[in-house]
Amino acid sequence: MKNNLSRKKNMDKINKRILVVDDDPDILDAMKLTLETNGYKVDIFEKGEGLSDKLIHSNFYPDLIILDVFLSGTNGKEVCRQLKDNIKTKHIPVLMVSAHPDLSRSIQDINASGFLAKPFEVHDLLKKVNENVSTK
Amino acid sequence: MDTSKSRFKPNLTKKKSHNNSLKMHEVLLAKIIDRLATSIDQDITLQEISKLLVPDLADYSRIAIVDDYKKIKEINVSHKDPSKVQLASDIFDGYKGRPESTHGIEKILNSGKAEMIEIVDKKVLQSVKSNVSLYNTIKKIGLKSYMGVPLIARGRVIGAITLSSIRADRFYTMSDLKFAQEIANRIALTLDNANLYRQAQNEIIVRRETEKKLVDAQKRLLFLSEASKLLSSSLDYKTTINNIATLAIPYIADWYIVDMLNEKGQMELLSVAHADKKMVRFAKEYRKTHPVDLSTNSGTARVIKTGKSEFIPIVTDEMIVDSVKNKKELKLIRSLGFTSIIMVPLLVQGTVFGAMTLVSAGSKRIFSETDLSMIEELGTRIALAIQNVKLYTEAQKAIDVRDEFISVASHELKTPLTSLKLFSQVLKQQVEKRGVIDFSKYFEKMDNQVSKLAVLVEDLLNITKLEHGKMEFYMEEFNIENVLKDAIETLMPMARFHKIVLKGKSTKNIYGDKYRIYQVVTNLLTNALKYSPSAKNIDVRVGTSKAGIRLSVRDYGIGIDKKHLAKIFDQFYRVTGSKEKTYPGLGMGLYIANEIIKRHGGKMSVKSIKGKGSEFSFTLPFKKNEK
Repeated sequence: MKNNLSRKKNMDKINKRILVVDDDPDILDAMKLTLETNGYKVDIFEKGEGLSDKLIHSNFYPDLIILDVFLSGTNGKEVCRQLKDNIKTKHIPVLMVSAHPDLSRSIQDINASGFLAKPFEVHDLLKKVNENVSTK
Repeated sequence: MDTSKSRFKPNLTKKKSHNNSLKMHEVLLAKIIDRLATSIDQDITLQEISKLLVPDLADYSRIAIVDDYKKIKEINVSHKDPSKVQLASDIFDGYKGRPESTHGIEKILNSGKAEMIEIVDKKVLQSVKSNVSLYNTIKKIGLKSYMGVPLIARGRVIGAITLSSIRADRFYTMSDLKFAQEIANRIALTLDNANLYRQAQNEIIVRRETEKKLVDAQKRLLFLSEASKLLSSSLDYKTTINNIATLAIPYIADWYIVDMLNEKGQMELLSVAHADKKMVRFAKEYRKTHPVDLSTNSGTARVIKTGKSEFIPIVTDEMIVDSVKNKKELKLIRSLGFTSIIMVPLLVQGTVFGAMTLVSAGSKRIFSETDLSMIEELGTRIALAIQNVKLYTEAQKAIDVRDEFISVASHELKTPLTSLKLFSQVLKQQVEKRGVIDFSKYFEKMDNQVSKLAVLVEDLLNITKLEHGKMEFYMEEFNIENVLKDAIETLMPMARFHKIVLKGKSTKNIYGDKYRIYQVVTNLLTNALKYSPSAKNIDVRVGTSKAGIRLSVRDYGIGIDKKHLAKIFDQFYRVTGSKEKTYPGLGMGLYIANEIIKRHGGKMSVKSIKGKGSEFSFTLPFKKNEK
């Protein structure tokens, strides 16, 4: 029964697109594998700089962005703020992740939807993704 | 008053003469009393009295006073005929300093008794014949009669008066002697009173000086202690040194200047203070054109080079002339009216940080050695403060570098751990799907190990934060039961053989950092699982007491030996022993948990019996207003 239920859930995920932004390519690989294995479409970005413009430019609006707080080049929080400041991207839910658990407190200021401390369990990741992915 | 005739015929006119003499005594005494009453200066008064005595009572009189140092001071040698004064003086010199003297000042001073030679006849002359010059002088002067009386005050001989007659018609009688003694008594009384008065005055002066010194000393101490307070109050010594100026000016000095040696070894003006702001601006401008030149060997430069103070109690014009280069400067420096200068090094343990100059100008204040010692002390304290700040800053920098390193390192360690966890869990998922259950078990073990590694990394970071008070707490109101349930749920996968039983209830909320309390509970549960490998149950109890909410985690495992219990919360403490099974760990978990509870105003405790299990519990206060 449990299997049937998860299969149904998986069916819902087929069209959900998740963008993962992290400056570590290994994390990107692992995230891509994990999320795809669990039924999501996954895109990955190594840089956060100008993310909101890039998305608008390529007319790409994922259902969830998983964003690392510490990105080389730009601060993930700043990237989130820019996304939330733009009318075309502000609706995209953002799940922030960081190796600094203390940062969980500061995500409210930037309107991020959730926070996950690295390293995390797969089931925690899936739970958070499921909670935050856009349901439109 | 003519008594000469009566003296020629003493027998016939004795009574009349006596009456005349009494009258003269009366008048003379009145005059003397008057003089004494208006006496201001002792010497002048005695001189005037001498003049009254000659010629009415004597042709020659001498008053000697023994001073405080037992020295004999001769106030007056008086004679009606100045030409004979020298001769008369010689007579006394003939007696002077001769202890064996039969008569005279020294004799009276020694004996304290009056003496009289009514008639200086051949017999008397004969007695001094051995002293030829004396003999000759007495003859030459024609000494006819002599008497001397001591000045006695409160039983002490304080002087003597001698009176001599060379008149053929004046021979001293007992009545004269009594009168002379009366005069002497009056003089002695006045002198003694004057002495007492002077002593009292001196005492007052001494007391006032002592009081002033005390007040000064207190002022100095206060200044030093205020300055020290300032120095210890801040790490910004430059501002502090500027603030000390407000203590020093104008109470200690008129100018306060501090020069510091910079990193290039040049002198930099750090602080200038003067009561007049215009003067401060002037000094700053002047220093721009006249910086302290360390290649010279004067003033501040020398203080810096030698590490020794310079003290100029009184600035002379010569010094100013010597120190300037031209007339314009001379005029300028003169106009500043420097009175006194103290320059001290800011020196501690052989390191000179700079120099402090205090100048008295315009005011009449002249610096003393005590001022110098105080300023030197202040210099040392300032130098100590600077050294402390430098050491502190260096240490702080090192700590910051270390903290930054640990923070970066833990971040860097967590990144590969994150990928590792994801990969191992996805692999587990995949092999399960394909039915390879054995492999699935190994991937799970691998994942657990990665989790342990992650906890260790997190603990290392937390310890660093705790040690430097950098752990942040986000206080909020929450129900601990929810936190407990979360923690139990998270640990369930690890507790395959255990049953974690939650007992009790908590209706009230606590006030704290939810995440940190979760960390503490997780730590206690992890320990309970780890140290009770063959037990079935772990009891978690929650309840309320007066002090707050009490929570305990009880296991039925190996327990802790008594000798370890007291140290169980110490940083890096691990239970090890030859007979004991060792468990992996760095001894950080309980230390961190205890610290977190402490920072919440709570208390953690442990009860344990070896072989029977342990119970860790803590109390957290309710939200403040619910107390």
